[in-house]
Amino acid sequence: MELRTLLTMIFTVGMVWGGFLYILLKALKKEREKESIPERPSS
Amino acid sequence: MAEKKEFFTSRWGMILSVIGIAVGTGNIWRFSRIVAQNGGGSFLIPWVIFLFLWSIPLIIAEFAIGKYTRYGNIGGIAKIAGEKFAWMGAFIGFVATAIMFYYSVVTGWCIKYLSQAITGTLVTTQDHIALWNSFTHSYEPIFFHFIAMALGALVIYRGVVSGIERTNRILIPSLLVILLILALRAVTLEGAWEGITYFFTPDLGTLLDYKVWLAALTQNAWDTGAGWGLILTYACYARQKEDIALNASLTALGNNSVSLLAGITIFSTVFALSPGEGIKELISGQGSTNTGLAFIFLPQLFEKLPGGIFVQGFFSTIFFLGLTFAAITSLISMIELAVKTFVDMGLERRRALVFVCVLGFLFGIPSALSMTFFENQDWVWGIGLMISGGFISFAIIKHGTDKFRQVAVNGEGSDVKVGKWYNVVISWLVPLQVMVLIVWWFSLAITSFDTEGWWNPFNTYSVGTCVLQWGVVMAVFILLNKQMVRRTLYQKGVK
Repeated sequence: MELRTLLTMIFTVGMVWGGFLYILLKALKKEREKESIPERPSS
Repeated sequence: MAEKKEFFTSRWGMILSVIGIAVGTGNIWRFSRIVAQNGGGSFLIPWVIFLFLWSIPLIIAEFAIGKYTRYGNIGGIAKIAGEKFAWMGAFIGFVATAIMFYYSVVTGWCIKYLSQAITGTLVTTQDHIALWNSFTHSYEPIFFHFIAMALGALVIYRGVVSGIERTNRILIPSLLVILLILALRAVTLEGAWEGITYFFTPDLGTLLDYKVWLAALTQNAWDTGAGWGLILTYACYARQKEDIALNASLTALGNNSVSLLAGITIFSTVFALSPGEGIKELISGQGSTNTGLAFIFLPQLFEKLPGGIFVQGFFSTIFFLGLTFAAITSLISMIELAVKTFVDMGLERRRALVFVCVLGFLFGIPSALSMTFFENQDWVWGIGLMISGGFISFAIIKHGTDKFRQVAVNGEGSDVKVGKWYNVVISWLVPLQVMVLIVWWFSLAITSFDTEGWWNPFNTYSVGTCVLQWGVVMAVFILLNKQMVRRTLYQKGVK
């Protein structure tokens, strides 16, 4: 495989799938922290 | 009687629903075709960059307007930009609704091909072009358009939690499983690696071509649901403690993850089952149109799958099942947008739903009967989406970008704070991208699509048809601005 192909693959897959997984894990962590806080009654 | 307020029951229910908006047929059929026409890997680099410069900032904006104001497009824009700009919100809503008219027809096509795949007709057909032409030149698309609209109506009738959230909780994970099965089969075909290599190999010359960058920006504008007003509508049902920045990023990245998976699947399949000719077909043959790729070219390839008619039937069925799921989850958001607009104006939800669906069915019929009409509507309202993105950006600038960021984006519930970079992107870069895109598409119409009649409002791909249709819609909404504001923001008993 050519270097430019490998670099594009790492860049694209890393940014898109890697980014998605990174944000997902961050959201999961924040969600667990929020679970202990009760929802404010909405108007 | 006051409407009972509903909210998404969890963060994940809301994210799956919003991903359902973003993931549509465009991820599966348009993305791969545009990648092939723009030099494979050379396209992917700007496509990722514009995800951060267009899609994510606009999705953040929509989430924030919806959650902050709790109004749909008209009330949301009026609250943010000022009441005299409510017509801009109406225009954003109208563009998405006009797309709903013909998107229901597209959903109907997917349902028709799914039924043909299930019955085995699709894999035994000799001439796929004739099959497609005989279908689109008959009255059958009206029937399937009706089925699509009825399915969408049924989901919306059940409400936000039992309808929208529950449907997306089932369909979006199912779609991902289907895409994973298809991807696994595709990448294990002999010769698939050639396709993957083409998909990821950039060419420096092509990468420096401004047209590739404009194609990548356009794909982000059309594909991620950013700037359509749909996410704004769903965000009205977000719980107060819901975050904006992480949810918006998850939506955009989730959408592009699906595109990437679909791209790998299609390129592997094309190179493995049609070596040499496949990519030419994708660039300039029957596969070079969205419908040609999904309804003519890919069914031809399914017939070449090793394993016999049962295996071919299975994979064509799950492909069209996935396509149908992608279409339906987007269609229901378009119906909900229109329904929410009328509910905001005081109409009872069920009446609004009946009104929207009857209207949607009737106004979709011309697109079901005429491909020329369909193509004209896709052209006019597809470019109209860019104006919608511009109007959202304008509303935020009018409100005060930094104030909007601090109060609406980084307000209650935010897990991460969005920095000042957002002010620059939403106030300067998004409007700049809107202008560049409109100039680019109009210049294409003048120099390439319709050199003789680009000014003629009755030609399919002309500048004139866009200006006329946008102009009429904007003029009507500007005239009705005061009434829309009164009905949306100042109903009796409602602030």
